Amino acid sequence: MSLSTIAWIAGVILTISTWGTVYRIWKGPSLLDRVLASDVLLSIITSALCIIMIVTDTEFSLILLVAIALIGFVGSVTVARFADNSKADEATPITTVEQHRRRKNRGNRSTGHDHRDHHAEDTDKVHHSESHPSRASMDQGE
Amino acid sequence: MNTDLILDIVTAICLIVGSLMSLAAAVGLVRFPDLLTRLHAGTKPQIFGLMLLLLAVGLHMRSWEDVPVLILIMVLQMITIPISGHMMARSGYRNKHFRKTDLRHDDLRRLVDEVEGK
Repeated sequence: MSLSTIAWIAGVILTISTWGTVYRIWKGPSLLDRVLASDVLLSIITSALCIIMIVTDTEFSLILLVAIALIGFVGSVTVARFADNSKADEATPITTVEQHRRRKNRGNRSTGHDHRDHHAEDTDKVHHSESHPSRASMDQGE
Repeated sequence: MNTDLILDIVTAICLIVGSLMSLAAAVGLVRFPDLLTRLHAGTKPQIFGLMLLLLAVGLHMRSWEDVPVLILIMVLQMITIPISGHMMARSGYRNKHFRKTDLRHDDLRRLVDEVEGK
């Protein structure tokens, strides 16, 4: 088997997978499915460029691969960011969640000890975990 | 068997397996039920398939000038693909594009509910 036969086989495989991807872009129930399918389509195009480079014995497309690897993720990240309708902030630090949980669980207890380090917070949480049934139920999951 | 023949065979195997990664992603995209499982299938050719195909290109060219560019492509892909995968999984989770009954353990639900004030 020559290299051209191998390239034909790989090309046929890539064609079949392109049809599957286009089917998901056409059919996909949500926007994120379509974005994911278009990402896969981009990686199929990248694979096809590699095969073309091998068959024609040129290195012309290498810079194109660099460009695709650099900026190929921008579109999907943008769509995934703005298709989000949740109210949560982008980077909610874990300390914010801990403060929220403490405020909710302890009610009007004194909150003047927010500046302690994480080790003290952990021991405090372990110490009080059995006295708050709501937190204990949260630790077990839903 | 000389060295060229062995390298050609390895190149052919890398080409076929790298293309089969794309086929596996397409089958997963068509067959899987929800976004998170499709995301699991869809990120296979973006890293592993591209790695095999770049290896095939490097083995076929056999010149040391191409190796830094190939490594650069692979490193850039390994940096950028997890970003898009993470953002899509995050958005898909918060927009509830998954089957809740398929999850055996859900650690993120509690956190998201607390931050959103439910």
